[in-house]
Amino acid sequence: MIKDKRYTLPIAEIKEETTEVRTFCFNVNLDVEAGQFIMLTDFNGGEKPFSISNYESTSDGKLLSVTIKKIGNFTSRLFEMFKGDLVSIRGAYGSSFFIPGKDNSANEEYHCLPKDFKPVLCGGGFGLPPLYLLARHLIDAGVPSSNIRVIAAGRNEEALLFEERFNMLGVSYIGAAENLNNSGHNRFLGTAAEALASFDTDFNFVYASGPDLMMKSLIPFIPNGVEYQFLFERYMKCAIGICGSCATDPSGIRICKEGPALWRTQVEKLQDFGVYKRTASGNIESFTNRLAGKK
Amino acid sequence: MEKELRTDFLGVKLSSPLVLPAGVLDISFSSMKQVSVLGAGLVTTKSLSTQARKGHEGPVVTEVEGGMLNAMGLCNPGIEAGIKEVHLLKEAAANDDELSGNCPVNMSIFATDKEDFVSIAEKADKSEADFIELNLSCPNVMDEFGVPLAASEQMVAEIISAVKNVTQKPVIAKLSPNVTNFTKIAGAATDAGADALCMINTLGPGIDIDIEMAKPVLSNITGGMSGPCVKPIALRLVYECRKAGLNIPIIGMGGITNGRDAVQMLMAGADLVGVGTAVYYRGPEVFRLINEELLSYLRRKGLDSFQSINRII
Ligand SMILES: Cc1cc2nc3c(=O)[nH]c(=O)nc-3n(C[C@H](O)[C@H](O)[C@H](O)COP(=O)(O)OP(=O)(O)OC[C@H]3O[C@@H](n4cnc5c(N)ncnc54)[C@H](O)[C@@H]3O)c2cc1C
Ligand SMILES: Cc1cc2nc3c(=O)[nH]c(=O)nc-3n(C[C@H](O)[C@H](O)[C@H](O)COP(=O)(O)O)c2cc1C
Ligand code: FES
Repeated sequence: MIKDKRYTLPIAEIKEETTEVRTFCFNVNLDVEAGQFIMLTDFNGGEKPFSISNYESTSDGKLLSVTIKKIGNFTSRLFEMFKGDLVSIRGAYGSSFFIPGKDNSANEEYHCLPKDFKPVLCGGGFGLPPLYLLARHLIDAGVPSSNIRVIAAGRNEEALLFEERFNMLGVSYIGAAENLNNSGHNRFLGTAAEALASFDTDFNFVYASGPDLMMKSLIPFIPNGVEYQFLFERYMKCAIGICGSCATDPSGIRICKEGPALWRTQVEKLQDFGVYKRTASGNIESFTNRLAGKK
Repeated sequence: MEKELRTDFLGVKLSSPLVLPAGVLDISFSSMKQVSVLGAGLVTTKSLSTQARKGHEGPVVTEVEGGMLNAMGLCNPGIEAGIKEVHLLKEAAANDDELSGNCPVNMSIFATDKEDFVSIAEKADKSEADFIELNLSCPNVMDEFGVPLAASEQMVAEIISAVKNVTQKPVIAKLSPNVTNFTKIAGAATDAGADALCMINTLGPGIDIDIEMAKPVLSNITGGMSGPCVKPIALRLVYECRKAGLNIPIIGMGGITNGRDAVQMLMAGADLVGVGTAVYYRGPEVFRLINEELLSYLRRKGLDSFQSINRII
């Protein structure tokens, strides 16, 4: 029997989020938790990981969404595809975000819904969409939507995704960017970390998803004793835990298996977090070189 | 580790006969250390080449009935980076309470010709690895490199003796099952001075096809087969080497997933047993689990060590 099933199916829908970001939807029945990802290929050379941004029941059955930013060869090819074109996916893979009351917590205290659970969901770039599925699952688990605050961090207005969708859930959405034309309602002129700091520790759980450096910048503003979970990205090849491509240092935590959602106790032990990543060959590439554009 | 599982391999003490083979959880020191802590007696690095290689585009793995096909494309960070990982591994092992410095490492290297093998082996010789393994056999890069080197008795012999000339470390030859003269090649490797043989590399290669899009699943089209479906062939090839009278240490692998499989591999004639694809089925804990299963077999049979398991020849 084959455990790792592959689903080759037509794109059910494509939504244009911005010029650079699109959501691709598929009618497929998978076991999906918030934070998990799928591997997607067009059988044209390249199979890449994407976080699940939504999973819902429709009249046509289950609809799974991934929200994709156009970056390089593979994602550009996807942007040339139409509704009805065939692609192939497998998954869902990896660990998921903690949902209070569900027994997937490293910390026993959280095995039931804590009274007054007040989470902040902080997403940068394409790290934001998976937090949408998380927000839905939190609300389904009984967390009042008024307790949930979302920080969408980006470079500019255009990078602040999913505002309408989050608003429909009744959660509060703050778009944080350093370049904003209007700094009006629901906008914060500054970084994700500065936005988190402005909450003055009025939260008791932080979920974050996005570039390492964004997530790392939040840590000084998360008080001791407040749990957090971060969603990691590392280079994925097999996504089934055998090739070692996505392993982190120093304990070998595999982002495709034990991750991508890691708990505070795991994050605190990582030596590569915000410092370096491994590339397709396994070579170490430091984030400072990356920022300087040296590669 | 329990005394029944301890062994001495080419002069190095191992805590268990289980080996992490090349290509599975072995790119970084962290993964290799984790597998050692979980109970592998010997860990092998990803096969290292002169320059870093990105490997093939995905999909690079596909599960098939009874196993899997892979065409990673020999992605690796290059010999220099690999040597550094081994250094970090040894350092981490020295500071680890459970390992207390005991973390034998087999450095797998590969090249396309003899000269290249020699120059990488010269570098590997200066590393902290305990053994050097020559991957003579990867089927996944044939377009690039032609037939596997392991298909020619003469090439195999020449490469091994050239490498033996430049290193003091024991040299292990990793052989391909995809040849018609397997025992002859194993014999040629032995005669050329290999200190041990490692068999089998992936079988085939094979093809998986997506019927919705009428496309091969792997971007490389073909991939080497591993996992439970290859075990009977792996057992046969190890057995045939013994039957042909080869008296050289053998690391036997191919589909070993549980204690029973490991016992079978030892009965076929292996000295150590590799466990690769089983990491997919049972997680990295597979090493701890198979050690336990092996022990319980030994105790049930009243044997005082795994070396007392009878071979079928
Ligand atoms: C767990 C996880 C979840 C992700 N979720 C999303 C998502 O929801 N939306 C989204 O737009 N992107 C997501 N990504 C990133 C996405 O996989 C890359 O943007 C994509 O692979 C780029 O491919 P490309 O050929 O277009 O670009 P390339 O030019 O090949 O690469 C651009 C950059 O993308 C990254 N990348 C490329 N290949 C891989 C790979 N196999 N594994 C990991 N990173 C890679 C590298 O950092 C690289 O520098 C996720 C990555 C991971 C690991
Ligand atoms: C994902 C993967 C990558 C591999 N990479 C290598 C490699 O780089 N060098 C090598 O000699 N063998 C490589 N192999 C082959 C294994 O070392 C082993 O010989 C083979 O998989 C049979 O054992 P198994 O069934 O226990 O996996 C690889 C196997 C797999 C599954
Ligand atoms: S991607 Fe292969 S182990 Fe995670």
